[in-house]
Amino acid sequence: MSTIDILFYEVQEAPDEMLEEVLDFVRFLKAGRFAPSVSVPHPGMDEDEVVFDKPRTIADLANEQRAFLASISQPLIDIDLSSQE
Amino acid sequence: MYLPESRREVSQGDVFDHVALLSVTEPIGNGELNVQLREGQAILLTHDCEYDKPSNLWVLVAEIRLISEIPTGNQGHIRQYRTRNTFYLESFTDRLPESYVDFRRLTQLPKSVVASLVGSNNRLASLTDEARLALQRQIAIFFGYGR
Repeated sequence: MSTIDILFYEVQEAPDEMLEEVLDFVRFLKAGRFAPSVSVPHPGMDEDEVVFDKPRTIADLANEQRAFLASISQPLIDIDLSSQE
Repeated sequence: MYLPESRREVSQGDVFDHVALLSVTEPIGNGELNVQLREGQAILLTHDCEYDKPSNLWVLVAEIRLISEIPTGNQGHIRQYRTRNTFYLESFTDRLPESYVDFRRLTQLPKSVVASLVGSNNRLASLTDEARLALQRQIAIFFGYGR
């Protein structure tokens, strides 16, 4: 059961006199003062990781990569690092 | 996004199951480190040219996580490739549910481990050429794009 599920349950089951308290809790959550990861065992997705405003597709990304590859005008040189193993 | 059959040779973008994934933690912040190994799914990041070098004994993989672990409101961002630290993976057969690559969780493995995963039927899929280009682009965005 997720945090939101619990919240909905609480709202539905709350007696009228508790409604304001529940709403306060909702406002508390909306204000971001409650860690949203309590039900997600994962580092999650920070908002600043969403860097593109518009949806992108595999084709969009592939075309950008093609453009990048085409922009490399000189062959790159690899050196043997095996002696550092 | 996937080839109907995995490529004949191991390639960048191949997806593997039962991969040993490494994590190092500092549980109580006193400099003492815990090293943990666990199994999970991962995608091969090492480029084919690098993989093919006999002198190179190592590969780099990134952990694959279930998209269902992400809060619902953010799942769409991942599916639309709007995020910097992930690469969305469609589901493919019952062994690869809808997932994403987490570029923050990388593990270095001996190349021989990858070969043994192939031998034990733990290579789940190969990306198409188009999807591999997209993966390369997203790797560059993760390491090269600040905000």
